[in-house]
Amino acid sequence: MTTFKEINEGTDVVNTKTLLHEAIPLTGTIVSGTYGDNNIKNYSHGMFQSVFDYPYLSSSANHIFDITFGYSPNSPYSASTSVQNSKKINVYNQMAQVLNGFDIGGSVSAGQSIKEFDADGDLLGTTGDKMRECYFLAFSRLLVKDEIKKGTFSIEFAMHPNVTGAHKHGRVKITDAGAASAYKINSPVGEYGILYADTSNQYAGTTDLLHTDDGTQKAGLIYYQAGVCVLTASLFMTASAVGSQATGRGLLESGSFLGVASRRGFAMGRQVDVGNRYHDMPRMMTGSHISASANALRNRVYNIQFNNTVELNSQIYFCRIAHNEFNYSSNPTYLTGSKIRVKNDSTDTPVAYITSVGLYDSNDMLLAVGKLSEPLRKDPTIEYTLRARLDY
Amino acid sequence: MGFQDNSGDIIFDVILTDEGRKQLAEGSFKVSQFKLADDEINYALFDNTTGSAYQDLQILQTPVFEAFSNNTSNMSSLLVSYTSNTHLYLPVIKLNNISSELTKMHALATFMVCCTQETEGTDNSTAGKYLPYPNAVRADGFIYGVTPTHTNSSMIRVDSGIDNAAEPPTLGPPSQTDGLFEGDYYVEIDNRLGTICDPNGNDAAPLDVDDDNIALYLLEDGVFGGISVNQNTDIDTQSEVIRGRRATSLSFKIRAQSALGQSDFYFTKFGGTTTMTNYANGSQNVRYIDSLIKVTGVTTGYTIDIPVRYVKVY
Repeated sequence: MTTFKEINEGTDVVNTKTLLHEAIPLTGTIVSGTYGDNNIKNYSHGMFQSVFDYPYLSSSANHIFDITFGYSPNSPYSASTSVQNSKKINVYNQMAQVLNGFDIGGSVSAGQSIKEFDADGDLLGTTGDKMRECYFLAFSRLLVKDEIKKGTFSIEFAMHPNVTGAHKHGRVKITDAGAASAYKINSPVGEYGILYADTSNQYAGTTDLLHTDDGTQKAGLIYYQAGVCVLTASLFMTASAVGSQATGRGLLESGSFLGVASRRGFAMGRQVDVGNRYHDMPRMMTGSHISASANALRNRVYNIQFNNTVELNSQIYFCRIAHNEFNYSSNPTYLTGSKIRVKNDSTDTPVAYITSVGLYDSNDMLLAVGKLSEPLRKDPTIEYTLRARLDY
Repeated sequence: MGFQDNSGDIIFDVILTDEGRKQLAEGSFKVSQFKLADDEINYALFDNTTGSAYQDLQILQTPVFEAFSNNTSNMSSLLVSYTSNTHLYLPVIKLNNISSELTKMHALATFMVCCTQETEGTDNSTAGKYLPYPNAVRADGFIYGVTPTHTNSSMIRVDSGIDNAAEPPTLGPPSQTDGLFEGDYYVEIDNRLGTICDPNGNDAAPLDVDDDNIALYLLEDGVFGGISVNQNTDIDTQSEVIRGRRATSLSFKIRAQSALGQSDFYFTKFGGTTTMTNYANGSQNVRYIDSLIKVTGVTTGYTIDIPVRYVKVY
């Protein structure tokens, strides 16, 4: 008699929102090792480096994140003699103006009005904790989806001067511990959390890797919706570093295996930047290209881990099937000479089998369709409520 | 104490069809009804000779396809609601190609739709090339797509009713109150190729044309000129295809889109070339496109696909 049943918008339709999370593990061997550098793309402009999950010339490759480095024009490393000085400033300013915004009433032209990154997120208060030399890891939308789940981000670096082969020990882990319940909202691009450094792997016979090794050292910021991790370059410098450029700015313990007290940092660039020479962080900031700095960081990555978030808005249509509905079929095989195959006698119960549910508009146009995993028997003794979920 | 049966509440994901995505983009997306279908089921596997538990064993093991996003590729055979559970016979829709000379199919088991007057032989300027009279003898199944009012134009006729002599036509039409009487029809046709008109050439207006250019027509009894109640109660197999109680007959013609006559674009894209015998008994070069027209009963949901070939001489 009828082949359809109306859906009442008031009683048969409900909207729901669900947050889905995926665990995203990025092992250090993907970032450096498995594919050599075939999955690393550098550009002629030299502003950043892209990391893929497969050699990037393959159509199977997915872009997973970008690495770049920059410093503030107020940084002591900013000098006309520094390699790619203007580009490093441009990178820092671009990141800072997007992620931090501008000082009220400031002028963009001089570059001074852009708010610098602040270690504790207090942009208006303390000024002694500005992060003026930073690495930036901008994760692909493919991985981040809608946002990084707060409290799940971690990145682990090998700190041993020799990072080749199995030497990725003496590790420091950076996490956004506690961010699930405490995070900042004073960024123009959404929420961000403070990253803290802690030793995750002691090297045999050494003292603590970090100058304050209790998980309270602030090492950067993680912007959840933007999917950008900002790491201070101090992470790779010693606390008692000597030399005019880096005094008192490093997080590392100078007495550890990382370097002797006379060094300003440790061998950040060794083997991945300038051959087998020691090239510590301060020297690299002034003397290396952005791509070389990205190489140095990338080769120290032991592991990156976070959970992403997808905000799933669903509309559920309740398809209510009463006992006396949809018990017959118009399937050509349902009849043989107009006689119903599933009945021998008129008193037998009619039976039909549901495999598909179609949602239609008032003009009988099929708008959405769902399939059941197996045929569903329908006869006059059965009632169903099929919940058809449409995700956006 | 056992658990309650919770099998009556089933949740599953649906995907938008291309038409749904189009309407979503246009801001007109609104679901107002649902239908159920059983496209994959072969009811011939239902075994009435065995115990109840085994009757539908093979049917329940039928694997089900994933959903297609093409709106016209899904939901071909619909489940139907009837108020009575005691029906043993249900109405069907059948192509009636024996009722008269004008409803017969072409020998190639399709209906030919002429796309130019030159093909029909109505332009009087290219006598000898036209196709409906090969070797000067009338052939069946040629619809005059340019001049469907022509008296020699064939038409498509489908009949509905109970195709079983156990309920003979002398009992009268199937019951309207039981929902067994089919009076209205949906017709789907590729709108790039043709449109629907009644046997007198009066054009019908489509209900909608979807994103794939499939036009949906609702042809209603009393509105569309080609629907009539089948009054023939004879058990006459010479002109009737419904052996039992007869409901209505739907007759219609196809008007070829003028673009088919003016351009070879669609013939090149979808069709091919062949040769047919022309009026002068010569081998005539012909462009053609094979397509289907779907006729569905509004009440019963029963569907048949009718093959159609659009032809143009060159």
